[in-house]
Amino acid sequence: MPVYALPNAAAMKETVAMLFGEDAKVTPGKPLDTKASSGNLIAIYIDDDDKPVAALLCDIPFAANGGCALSMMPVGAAKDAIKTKKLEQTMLDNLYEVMNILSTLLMDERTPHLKLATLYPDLGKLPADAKVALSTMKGHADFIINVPRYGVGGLSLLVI
Amino acid sequence: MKILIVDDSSAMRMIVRRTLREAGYGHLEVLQAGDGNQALDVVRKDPPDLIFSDWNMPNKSGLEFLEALKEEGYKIPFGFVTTEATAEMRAKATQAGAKFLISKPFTVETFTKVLEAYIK
Repeated sequence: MPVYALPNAAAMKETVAMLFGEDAKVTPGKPLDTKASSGNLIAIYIDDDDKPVAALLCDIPFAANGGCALSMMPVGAAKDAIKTKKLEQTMLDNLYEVMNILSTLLMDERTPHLKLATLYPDLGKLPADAKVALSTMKGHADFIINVPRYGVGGLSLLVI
Repeated sequence: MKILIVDDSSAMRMIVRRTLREAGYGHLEVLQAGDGNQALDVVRKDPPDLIFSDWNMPNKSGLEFLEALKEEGYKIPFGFVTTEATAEMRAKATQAGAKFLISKPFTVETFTKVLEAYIK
Protein backbone atom coordinates (compact mmCIF):
# COMPACT_ATOMS: atom_id res chain seq x y z
CA MET A 1 0.00 0.00 0.00
CA PRO A 2 1.62 3.31 -1.06
CA VAL A 3 2.36 5.76 1.74
CA TYR A 4 1.18 8.66 -0.38
CA ALA A 5 -1.99 9.17 -2.38
CA LEU A 6 -2.34 8.63 -6.11
CA PRO A 7 -5.06 10.45 -8.01
CA ASN A 8 -7.63 8.89 -10.26
CA ALA A 9 -8.44 10.45 -13.61
CA ALA A 10 -11.30 12.53 -12.13
CA ALA A 11 -9.06 14.13 -9.50
CA MET A 12 -6.34 14.73 -12.09
CA LYS A 13 -8.91 16.32 -14.40
CA GLU A 14 -10.05 18.79 -11.69
CA THR A 15 -6.50 19.99 -11.08
CA VAL A 16 -5.57 20.06 -14.75
CA ALA A 17 -8.75 22.03 -15.51
CA MET A 18 -7.73 24.60 -12.91
CA LEU A 19 -4.25 24.81 -14.46
CA PHE A 20 -5.12 24.84 -18.15
CA GLY A 21 -8.85 25.49 -18.45
CA GLU A 22 -12.06 23.47 -18.38
CA ASP A 23 -11.40 21.98 -21.84
CA ALA A 24 -8.29 20.13 -20.63
CA LYS A 25 -8.71 16.37 -20.98
CA VAL A 26 -7.25 13.48 -19.02
CA THR A 27 -7.10 9.86 -20.16
CA PRO A 28 -5.24 6.83 -18.79
CA GLY A 29 -1.68 6.53 -20.09
CA LYS A 30 1.26 4.17 -19.93
CA PRO A 31 4.13 4.40 -17.42
CA LEU A 32 6.82 6.78 -18.64
CA ASP A 33 10.37 5.51 -19.00
CA THR A 34 12.70 6.44 -16.12
CA LYS A 35 15.90 5.83 -18.12
CA ALA A 36 18.21 8.81 -18.70
CA SER A 37 18.06 8.20 -22.46
CA SER A 38 14.26 8.64 -22.49
CA GLY A 39 14.49 12.45 -22.55
CA ASN A 40 11.75 12.61 -19.92
CA LEU A 41 11.83 15.19 -17.13
CA ILE A 42 11.35 14.43 -13.46
CA ALA A 43 10.22 16.35 -10.40
CA ILE A 44 11.33 14.92 -7.06
CA TYR A 45 9.25 15.48 -3.94
CA ILE A 46 10.63 15.20 -0.41
CA ASP A 47 9.10 14.68 3.01
CA ASP A 48 9.70 16.86 6.07
CA ASP A 49 12.97 14.96 6.68
CA ASP A 50 14.17 15.88 3.17
CA LYS A 51 13.86 12.27 2.03
CA PRO A 52 12.74 11.71 -1.60
CA VAL A 53 9.32 10.05 -1.39
CA ALA A 54 7.57 10.75 -4.69
CA ALA A 55 8.26 11.71 -8.26
CA LEU A 56 6.41 13.13 -11.20
CA LEU A 57 7.70 12.24 -14.65
CA CYS A 58 6.61 14.01 -17.77
CA ASP A 59 7.59 13.72 -21.40
CA ILE A 60 8.85 16.65 -23.46
CA PRO A 61 5.44 17.27 -25.10
CA PHE A 62 3.80 17.72 -21.70
CA ALA A 63 6.66 19.90 -20.50
CA ALA A 64 6.43 22.09 -23.62
CA ASN A 65 2.63 22.22 -23.88
CA GLY A 66 2.01 22.63 -20.15
CA GLY A 67 4.95 24.99 -19.69
CA CYS A 68 3.75 27.23 -22.52
CA ALA A 69 0.06 27.10 -21.61
CA LEU A 70 0.61 28.37 -18.10
CA SER A 71 1.74 31.81 -19.27
CA MET A 72 0.06 31.67 -22.69
CA MET A 73 3.27 31.49 -24.70
CA PRO A 74 2.76 31.02 -28.44
CA VAL A 75 1.67 27.57 -29.57
CA GLY A 76 4.55 27.67 -32.07
CA ALA A 77 7.04 27.88 -29.20
CA ALA A 78 5.70 24.63 -27.77
CA LYS A 79 5.85 22.92 -31.18
CA ASP A 80 9.45 24.08 -31.67
CA ALA A 81 10.47 22.80 -28.25
CA ILE A 82 8.93 19.40 -28.95
CA LYS A 83 10.65 19.23 -32.36
CA THR A 84 14.10 20.29 -31.09
CA LYS A 85 13.71 18.63 -27.66
CA LYS A 86 14.99 21.91 -26.17
CA LEU A 87 12.83 23.69 -23.59
CA GLU A 88 13.22 27.43 -22.98
CA GLN A 89 13.88 28.53 -19.41
CA THR A 90 10.42 30.14 -19.12
CA MET A 91 8.82 26.80 -20.05
CA LEU A 92 10.90 25.05 -17.37
CA ASP A 93 10.03 27.74 -14.78
CA ASN A 94 6.34 27.34 -15.61
CA LEU A 95 6.65 23.54 -15.54
CA TYR A 96 8.14 23.83 -12.05
CA GLU A 97 5.03 25.71 -10.96
CA VAL A 98 2.80 23.05 -12.58
CA MET A 99 4.67 20.29 -10.75
CA ASN A 100 4.35 22.27 -7.52
CA ILE A 101 0.59 22.50 -7.89
CA LEU A 102 0.31 18.81 -8.87
CA SER A 103 1.97 17.86 -5.55
CA THR A 104 -1.43 18.33 -3.86
CA LEU A 105 -2.62 15.21 -5.71
CA LEU A 106 -0.10 13.09 -3.78
CA MET A 107 -1.43 14.05 -0.35
CA ASP A 108 -4.66 13.67 1.56
CA GLU A 109 -5.67 13.97 5.23
CA ARG A 110 -3.98 10.61 6.02
CA THR A 111 -0.62 11.03 4.29
CA PRO A 112 2.57 12.67 5.55
CA HIS A 113 3.42 16.08 4.12
CA LEU A 114 5.61 16.36 1.06
CA LYS A 115 6.82 19.20 -1.12
CA LEU A 116 8.51 19.71 -4.46
CA ALA A 117 12.28 19.74 -4.08
CA THR A 118 13.75 19.93 -7.59
CA LEU A 119 12.73 19.62 -11.21
CA TYR A 120 15.39 17.81 -13.26
CA PRO A 121 15.16 18.46 -17.01
CA ASP A 122 17.66 15.62 -17.43
CA LEU A 123 17.00 12.24 -15.79
CA GLY A 124 20.71 11.56 -16.16
CA LYS A 125 21.49 14.29 -13.61
CA LEU A 126 19.39 12.78 -10.81
CA PRO A 127 21.37 12.62 -7.53
CA ALA A 128 22.16 9.20 -6.04
CA ASP A 129 19.60 9.32 -3.23
CA ALA A 130 16.81 10.26 -5.64
CA LYS A 131 17.86 7.43 -8.01
CA VAL A 132 17.68 4.93 -5.15
CA ALA A 133 14.32 6.30 -4.01
CA LEU A 134 12.98 6.17 -7.58
CA SER A 135 13.81 2.47 -7.77
CA THR A 136 11.63 1.86 -4.67
CA MET A 137 8.59 3.79 -5.91
CA LYS A 138 6.16 1.02 -6.72
CA GLY A 139 2.90 2.99 -6.61
CA HIS A 140 2.13 4.75 -9.87
CA ALA A 141 -0.61 6.48 -11.82
CA ASP A 142 -0.17 7.34 -15.49
CA PHE A 143 -2.05 9.80 -17.64
CA ILE A 144 -2.21 11.50 -21.00
CA ILE A 145 -3.05 15.17 -20.63
CA ASN A 146 -4.55 17.16 -23.50
CA VAL A 147 -3.69 20.82 -22.92
CA PRO A 148 -6.23 22.95 -24.82
CA ARG A 149 -4.74 24.80 -27.83
CA TYR A 150 -1.35 23.16 -27.35
CA GLY A 151 -1.53 19.38 -27.49
CA VAL A 152 -1.04 16.15 -25.59
CA GLY A 153 1.67 14.91 -23.28
CA GLY A 154 2.33 12.14 -20.80
CA LEU A 155 2.51 12.31 -17.01
CA SER A 156 3.45 9.54 -14.54
CA LEU A 157 3.12 9.95 -10.78
CA LEU A 158 5.27 7.66 -8.64
CA VAL A 159 5.15 7.20 -4.88
CA ILE A 160 6.84 4.97 -2.31
CA MET B 1 -12.86 47.91 -7.73
CA LYS B 2 -9.48 46.52 -6.68
CA ILE B 3 -8.63 42.93 -5.83
CA LEU B 4 -5.44 41.75 -4.14
CA ILE B 5 -4.19 38.23 -4.93
CA VAL B 6 -1.61 36.86 -2.49
CA ASP B 7 0.23 33.60 -3.24
CA ASP B 8 3.90 32.62 -3.24
CA SER B 9 3.31 30.78 -6.53
CA SER B 10 3.31 33.14 -9.51
CA ALA B 11 1.50 30.39 -11.45
CA MET B 12 -1.33 30.34 -8.92
CA ARG B 13 -1.62 34.12 -9.08
CA MET B 14 -1.90 33.79 -12.89
CA ILE B 15 -4.50 31.06 -12.53
CA VAL B 16 -6.60 33.13 -10.10
CA ARG B 17 -6.40 36.11 -12.47
CA ARG B 18 -7.46 33.91 -15.40
CA THR B 19 -10.32 32.46 -13.39
CA LEU B 20 -11.52 35.96 -12.44
CA ARG B 21 -11.49 36.83 -16.17
CA GLU B 22 -13.39 33.68 -17.09
CA ALA B 23 -15.92 34.44 -14.35
CA GLY B 24 -16.59 37.79 -16.06
CA TYR B 25 -14.51 39.99 -13.76
CA GLY B 26 -11.61 40.74 -16.08
CA HIS B 27 -12.34 44.46 -15.89
CA LEU B 28 -11.34 44.69 -12.23
CA GLU B 29 -7.98 46.09 -11.18
CA VAL B 30 -5.75 43.32 -9.80
CA LEU B 31 -2.89 43.80 -7.36
CA GLN B 32 -0.51 40.97 -6.48
CA ALA B 33 1.86 39.94 -3.70
CA GLY B 34 4.09 36.91 -3.12
CA ASP B 35 3.76 36.62 0.64
CA GLY B 36 2.06 38.13 3.67
CA ASN B 37 4.69 40.81 4.22
CA GLN B 38 4.56 42.03 0.62
CA ALA B 39 0.77 41.93 0.80
CA LEU B 40 0.73 44.12 3.91
CA ASP B 41 2.93 46.67 2.10
CA VAL B 42 0.53 46.65 -0.86
CA VAL B 43 -2.48 47.19 1.41
CA ARG B 44 -0.82 50.08 3.22
CA LYS B 45 0.03 51.82 -0.08
CA ASP B 46 -3.13 51.05 -2.06
CA PRO B 47 -5.90 49.34 -0.06
CA PRO B 48 -7.88 46.86 -2.17
CA ASP B 49 -11.61 46.15 -1.87
CA LEU B 50 -11.24 42.37 -1.64
CA ILE B 51 -8.37 39.99 -0.84
CA PHE B 52 -7.72 36.41 -1.98
CA SER B 53 -4.88 34.82 -0.08
CA ASP B 54 -3.10 31.50 0.01
CA TRP B 55 -2.71 29.92 3.47
CA ASN B 56 0.87 28.60 3.49
CA MET B 57 3.42 31.18 2.44
CA PRO B 58 6.94 32.10 3.55
CA ASN B 59 7.61 35.41 5.37
CA LYS B 60 4.13 35.64 6.88
CA SER B 61 1.39 33.12 6.21
CA GLY B 62 -2.10 33.98 5.02
CA LEU B 63 -3.44 33.65 8.56
CA GLU B 64 -0.70 35.89 9.96
CA PHE B 65 -1.43 38.41 7.19
CA LEU B 66 -5.14 38.43 8.15
CA GLU B 67 -4.27 38.91 11.83
CA ALA B 68 -1.93 41.78 10.90
CA LEU B 69 -4.68 43.45 8.85
CA LYS B 70 -7.04 43.29 11.83
CA GLU B 71 -4.37 44.72 14.16
CA GLU B 72 -3.87 47.66 11.80
CA GLY B 73 -7.60 48.33 11.65
CA TYR B 74 -8.29 47.24 8.08
CA LYS B 75 -11.77 45.83 7.44
CA ILE B 76 -11.25 44.54 3.89
CA PRO B 77 -13.26 41.40 2.99
CA PHE B 78 -10.73 38.55 3.04
CA GLY B 79 -10.87 34.97 1.80
CA PHE B 80 -8.48 32.05 1.45
CA VAL B 81 -7.73 30.19 -1.79
CA THR B 82 -5.92 27.12 -0.54
CA THR B 83 -5.41 23.38 -0.55
CA GLU B 84 -5.86 23.50 3.26
CA ALA B 85 -9.60 22.86 3.20
CA THR B 86 -10.22 20.53 6.15
CA ALA B 87 -13.08 21.31 8.53
CA GLU B 88 -10.51 22.33 11.14
CA MET B 89 -8.87 24.80 8.77
CA ARG B 90 -12.20 26.24 7.69
CA ALA B 91 -13.08 26.79 11.35
CA LYS B 92 -9.70 28.51 11.93
CA ALA B 93 -10.27 30.70 8.89
CA THR B 94 -13.76 31.71 10.02
CA GLN B 95 -12.59 32.40 13.58
CA ALA B 96 -9.82 34.61 12.22
CA GLY B 97 -12.37 36.63 10.25
CA ALA B 98 -12.09 35.20 6.75
CA LYS B 99 -15.36 35.57 4.82
CA PHE B 100 -14.82 32.54 2.56
CA LEU B 101 -12.42 29.72 1.78
CA ILE B 102 -12.05 28.46 -1.79
CA SER B 103 -10.32 25.10 -1.93
CA LYS B 104 -7.90 24.14 -4.72
CA PRO B 105 -8.51 22.83 -7.30
CA PHE B 106 -11.31 25.28 -7.98
CA THR B 107 -13.61 25.97 -10.90
CA VAL B 108 -14.86 29.19 -12.45
CA GLU B 109 -18.28 28.44 -10.93
CA THR B 110 -16.78 28.24 -7.41
CA PHE B 111 -15.28 31.70 -7.87
CA THR B 112 -18.48 33.14 -9.35
CA LYS B 113 -20.58 31.95 -6.40
CA VAL B 114 -18.22 33.54 -3.90
CA LEU B 115 -17.59 36.74 -5.81
CA GLU B 116 -21.23 37.60 -6.46
CA ALA B 117 -21.53 38.55 -2.80
CA TYR B 118 -18.58 40.94 -2.88
CA ILE B 119 -18.08 42.35 -6.35
CA LYS B 120 -20.40 44.93 -7.85
